[in-house]
Order: sequence, then structure tokens, then C-alpha cells
Amino acid sequence: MRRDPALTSALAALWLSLGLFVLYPFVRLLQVTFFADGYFSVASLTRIFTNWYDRASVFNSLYLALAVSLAGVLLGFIFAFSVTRMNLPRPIKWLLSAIPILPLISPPFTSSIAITLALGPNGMFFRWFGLPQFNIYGFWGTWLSETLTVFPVAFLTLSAVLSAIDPNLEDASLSLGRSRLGTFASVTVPLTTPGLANAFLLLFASSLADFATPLVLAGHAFPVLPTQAYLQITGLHDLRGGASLSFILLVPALIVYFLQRYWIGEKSYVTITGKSGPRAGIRSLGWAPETFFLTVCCLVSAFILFLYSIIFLGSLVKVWGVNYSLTLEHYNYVFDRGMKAIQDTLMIACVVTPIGAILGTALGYLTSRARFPGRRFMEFASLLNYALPGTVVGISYVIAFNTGPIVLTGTMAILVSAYVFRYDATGIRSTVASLQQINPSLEEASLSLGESAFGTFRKITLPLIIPAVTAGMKFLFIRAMTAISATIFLVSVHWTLLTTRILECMTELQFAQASAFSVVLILIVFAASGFISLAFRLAYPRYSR
Amino acid sequence: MSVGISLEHLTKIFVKDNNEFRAVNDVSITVNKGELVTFLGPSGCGKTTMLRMIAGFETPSAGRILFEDRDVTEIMVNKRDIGFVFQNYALFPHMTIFDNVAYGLRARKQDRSVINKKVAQSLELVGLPNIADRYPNQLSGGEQQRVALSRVLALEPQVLLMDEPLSNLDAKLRIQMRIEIRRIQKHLGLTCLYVTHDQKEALTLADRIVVMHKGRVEQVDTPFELYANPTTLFVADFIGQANVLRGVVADAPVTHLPVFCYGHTYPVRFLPDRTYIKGGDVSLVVRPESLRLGSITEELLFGTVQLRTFVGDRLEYEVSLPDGNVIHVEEPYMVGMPMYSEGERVSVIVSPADIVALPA
Repeated sequence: MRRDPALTSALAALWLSLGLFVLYPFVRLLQVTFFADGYFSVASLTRIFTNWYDRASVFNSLYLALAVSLAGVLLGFIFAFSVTRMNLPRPIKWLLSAIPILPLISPPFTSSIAITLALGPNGMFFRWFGLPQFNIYGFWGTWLSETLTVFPVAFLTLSAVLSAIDPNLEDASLSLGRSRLGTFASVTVPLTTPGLANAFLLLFASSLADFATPLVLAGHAFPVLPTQAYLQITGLHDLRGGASLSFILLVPALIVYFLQRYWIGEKSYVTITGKSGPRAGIRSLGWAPETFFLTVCCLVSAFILFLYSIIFLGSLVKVWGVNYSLTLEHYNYVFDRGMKAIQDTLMIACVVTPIGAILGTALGYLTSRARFPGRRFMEFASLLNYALPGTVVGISYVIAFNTGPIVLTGTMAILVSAYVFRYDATGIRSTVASLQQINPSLEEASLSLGESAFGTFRKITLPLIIPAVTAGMKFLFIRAMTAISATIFLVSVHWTLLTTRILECMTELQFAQASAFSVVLILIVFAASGFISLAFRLAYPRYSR
Repeated sequence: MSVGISLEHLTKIFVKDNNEFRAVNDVSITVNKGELVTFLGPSGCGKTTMLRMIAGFETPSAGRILFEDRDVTEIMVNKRDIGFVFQNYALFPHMTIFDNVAYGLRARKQDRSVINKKVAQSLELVGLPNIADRYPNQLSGGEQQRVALSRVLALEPQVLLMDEPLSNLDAKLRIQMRIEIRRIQKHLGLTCLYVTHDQKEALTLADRIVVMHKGRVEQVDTPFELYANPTTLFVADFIGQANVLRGVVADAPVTHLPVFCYGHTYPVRFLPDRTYIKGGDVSLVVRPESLRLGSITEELLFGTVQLRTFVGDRLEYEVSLPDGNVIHVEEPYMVGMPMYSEGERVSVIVSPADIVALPA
């Protein structure tokens, strides 16, 4: 196809923005880590491994990530199996797939606050069951909270894989004489292996990058890398030390990213079975394992609901654990003292969403449809900030935009660009996935009928990928409302966020106010994602058919 | 409206894993105004790539494409004024049939009243006057293909390009549609290039057929010439079925070429523009339906029936010759005709005029 002049200018704009907001901060981070006074040096890295506390944070991070991802994959598998491969009544299936989504769209502190209220000092849980008090701060609390927060990702990944496995394969195994459990172990689980590996890597990366949970629950006895890097910068004003710590965080994150993309990507079994007539019904696994799976699901779901109701109740009572009389004073506090944070956060999310939608659609479309040199690199750059832990992105933005040729500190632009380039990945990926479903001959047909390249995109391609674009917008909005790890470095007196306000309440032990903020935030997120869905349905009524 | 097309040394090179692959290799063809030419060949022969270059979806690596005297090689597809019909129809799923057919007219900024008239005319032409409000997924495959055709015809293009347009339809509909396409093409006097791998489709539709093989043109001829006088073994074998026997030139050609084969000399047809050397090897091409079986005599070519298949309108025999070669014989089936069973020794009767000799 002939090169379109519009393509050239679109590419120039994309390269410029990716270069400025993805590659430039990344390079500056490496520069600060490895160059001291103009010379190459690894001193800042060796210093980390000689300081026992920093060294501990490295190993704690890896250890925690391993424990969280193992537990999360197991839990995700049990939920996914129950929902996709067991004959349960519809409402129960719906509940079991809806409840795990709650932690996914909640602000990062929700489960930490709830766990502190339930299991922490003055917590009701142990008193109810007459158990001895137990120190929740440290590894166990962090592990529990992170597992609950990230296992939904494993659940979603594995549900997709499990429901794609043809039940005929299991029937084939049974007809060859295997028992039901034998079939489960020798057919179902091996077919899920790539999905399990993928889920493991995803959880490992999210736990490694998680900043909010350890900040609340890990405490001084259990330092981890993201919080350590944060304290280094905000507490000690040691930019170089923080950069070095975040570099150590970056290495496993990039390894995970490449493994996930290029190793797992080639190993999927899902497409192998190809065509196979009408689907066979699901066969039961036997009552004992099914009861076990269902029990686990119910207990975990109940625990999640319990935590959420604690947040809600906690925002309505005077002092948790001391005075349980109902009051609205915490909400008064939120709408009085917290109004600026609410307005700022909403404002930023509303700016981020359309910009991200345009950028994500352009990136997804061009990297999968257009042919130009550097296409693969553009794809990599567009997903880089998402693959990196938020702390790394935040620190690299501080380094890049506090000083130097471009200063953005204290502006709204720095927050917007951080969100757009970090959380556009979902929009880009769903755009790419949805383009793969669309035969290029549709676009060629439009061109051959005399329509221009841009007209073709507007009239043919865009209407066909709009569901993917909407999904990306929803995700972007939710993240812009709830993210903290990158942006905690970027807030200023001019622009403050709901999540950082929640953190301030937590550090000042104002749990009730933190809960009230969280409830307000959750309600806004629900309302907004409902609004986006509704707007989409009104604009494109034909898709709801 | 319609134009003639010239392709001059058209070449397309794809590079995959650092290996060059010549999908189309130095092809020069002229297509006359109002002519229907099919590109025929096995999959991977380069026929679709050729069509896509003529449409403007692919850029040639070398060579030129002329519409009449206008060089369109460097012109974008949306400025070439072509109509392209896709194998998978490529109807826009989110638009009604009316919007689909009106699409190109709107891109040309035509008046609303003109658009309404042309869409109606064009849907009428393909025999679907009452479906304008429906969506593509509410139509059958055959109807979708008619709409795809009507969408293109509404623009009155200079050139109609069709890429295996009937291959997704069932056999009966295919025959009906190809008659329809031929009718409309003649009626409008369109220059049409038509890609297919189905030789029956090519033979019934085309004014001329371009047989392609491995990126090159093997032969360009009318259906009759192609069938009767294939110039290469590939064409002989690809168009219809062909038995190929080895022979030796017995004497110089005059009106016929005497060829020695299985102990007999046959005066066979030859290609006037090729050279045949006395004593040189030739390949003898003879169609199964030109052969007949008879009871065994030593004077004729003979063999043993290995397999007999009854296919309704004819009987197909596989006969093994004394040297082990197998030839195919097809006899039209008539009640009471002599039949030969497997293992029976038979004579193979052939009229030398049905044999074409190709220099080996």
C-alpha cells in the first residue's frame, strides 16, 4: 500500500510522545543509577548489597512475590475451575465471578485498611473467635492482603484458558479408561500449564511492584523494594539511592515481561484443538474435590465481602474497636477537607481517559496494521511503562522532569502523562486483539471503493473496534482514580489525589476517614464505569444485540 | 468507461526471514477492453498477488501497470477507479446493505438522489431489489456475494477485479453465479480480471485464460486452444486430465509428426513454433476421454485393466501398459455398452489427431 502522508505525521507524533514520556525518563533513570560525576560506576548498586537493610528488602521482595504468586495462582485456579468447569446454578456462578472482581477495581489500600481493622490491634476477628492476638504487620499481613488483591488476575487468565479447553478431550481420556481425577491430572491441568505459567508471571510482577500494601502492612521489620525506594527519596532525599533500588526492581520486572511475551506466547495449547462440532457437556469431577473447591471459593468470597463491609462500617462508626455508635462525621470530613482531592482526581481522570483513548487506539492500530520501520520497537515502548513497576516509573519521572530541559514538576501534565503512558497498555492490547479479529479485506474493500485511508479508519475500522476502545477507556479511568505507586512521587500542593489522601489518613491512624475516602472512591469508580458503558450503549445501539 | 490493461514485466518479491521469494516473476500481458480474463493456477502460483498489484493493494517490486495509456503503478488504490470483489465478500458488518452499496458513491461525494438511484439500479442488476435495509449477517452466502458485486458495479469502475469470488459458495450456487457474472460483465462491457483455482470456472467464464505456475505465465490462450493445444506439460496436466506418454520422433514433421511409441508409429499433432529433432524424445499428451477400450489385438496398444470406477455419466478405467505405466481412460456410459472387468487384457484405441507432442 502507498505511504499516506497522514501516516507519517501520526507516526512522528507518536514517536515524539513515546520518546518524551517513556524512553527519556527510562534513559535518565539508568543514567542516574550508573553515572556518578560523569563516570560509569556501579557503586550505587554495590552499596545496596553491602547495606543489610537494603539487601533484606531485595530478598524480602522476591520471597514475598513468590509466596503471593503461588497462593494467588492456586486460589485463581480453584475459582476459575469452579466457575467454568462445574455444574453450578447460574446465580452462584455469577457471584463467584463477580466477587473476585471487587479487589481488582478497588483503590489499592482497601484490603490493607480492612485487614488492619479486622486483624490488626483492636481487630475484632481474633476476639470473636477467642484466638490469641497476633501481630498482622510484616510478612503475613502483606502476603494475605496482596494475595487477595492480585488473585483475581489469575482467576481471569485461567477462566479464559479453562473455558477454551474442549470437553471432548476430557471425554476422550475417560473413554480410554482414565478415572475422573486421573483425567483432571493428566489432561486438564497440563492443558492449563501455559495459562498457569502466565498467571504466575503476572502475579509475580504485580506483587513485586505493589507499593500500597507493604506501605501499610509490612512495617519496619519487613522492608521491601518499592517502599524502600520511596522512603529513600521522600525521607532521605537520596535520588540516586532510590534510583538504584528501583533499578533492581526493574530487572526482574523486565525478565517477567519478556518471558511472558515471547516464551508463554508461543506455548499456548488453546488453539490446537481447532474445530469440534457441538460442545460436550461438562463432566463432574466427583463430589469430594468439588466440595473442597466450592468450600474454598465460599470462604474466600465471604472473607472478601467481610473486608468490604468492614470498610463500609468503619466509615460509619465513631472510633473502631472503641465506640461503635453510628456517625456521618467522617463523610463530612471527606467532603469538606477532601473536596480538593476528589475534584483533582476526577479532573485528572477525565482528562486522562480521552487522551489515552486516542493515543491507545492510534498505537494499537498502527503497530498492528501499518508497516513502517521500528514497528516492533514502538510496540515495546508503548507497553514498557506498564511492564515496569509503578515505583520505577514514578522515580524516573521525578528524575526526568524535576530538572533538566523539561520541567513538569507540580503540573497536572506530569500526572496525566504518567497515567496515560502507564495504563494505556490494556487499551492498546484490546485494540490489537480486536483488530486481529477483523479481516484486512474490509479495509481494502473500503480503499478500493475510493475511500481515503483516514476515511476508512473512521468509517470502517473504528466502529468495529469501538468495544475494545471502550474497555480500554474504562480501565484507564479506574486506574487514574485508584493508582498510587507511580503518582505518589508526582503529587504536589497544586494537584493532590484521593489515593494519597487515603495514605495520609492511614499514616495518621485516621482509619475511619481513610475508610470514608475509600467508600467514596469506590462509588465514583462504579458510577463512572457504569456511565461509560451506558454512553457506549447509547452511541452504538447495535452492539448490545 | 472500461479500459484495456497492460502489464509490463511485473515482478513482486517478498522477503521472509531474509529469503527472497518471487511471487510474481516478470509477467507481461495485455488485456483488451471488455474482455474477461481469468488467472488460473494452483495455490501459491502468484495469481492473487498479481491481482492485488493491479488493484493497488501491493506495490510491484518492478514493472509497470497501464490502464489504457495511463501508468497507474504509483497511484493509490482509492484513486485507481477499480472494483474489487473479495473471496470473503468483505461486506461491512456494521452497515446496512444500502449503506454498503452506497459506500463508494458517498466517497465520491455524489448527490443523495443520484446515490439512491444508483444503489437501487445496482441491486436490481444482481437480482436483489428488496434487501436494502438488512444487514450482511442476515443474508445467505450467495446473496452476500451478489451484494459485494453490486457494491462494486454501482461505481461503474474502469476495471473489475475478482479474487476467487465464488470459492465460498456451494457447487450449485457457484454455477448459477458464474453464469450471472458472465451475463452482467457482457451486458456492461466491463474489462474483468478473475482469479480462480477452479479450471471449470476458468473454462466456462473466460474469453482468455492466463495459466500461472510458480510466479510465471505458462500459457495465455482461449479456453479451446488451451484445452486442445497445451504448450507445456504443466498446462496439459492442470487443465483437464492428461495422460503423458514417452515417444521418440520418427521423422521430420510435415502436416503431422510421426512418433514412435510402444512399438507403433502415430502421426500426431505438434506445435508449429517448436523444433522437433528426429530421434529426439517427446512427451505425448492425450486426454482420457479421447481413448477407447476394445478387445485385445496385437496390432494396437494394449494393457491390463487395474481399476474400474463408475461415476454415473461415464466409466473410468486405469489401464497398466506392458512397461508398468498407467493410463486413464474415460468412456461415456451407455446402457448395453461393452464393459471390461479388473484384470482383463484390453486394447487401447486412440485417434492420432487427439495426441499432441511436446518436445521433452
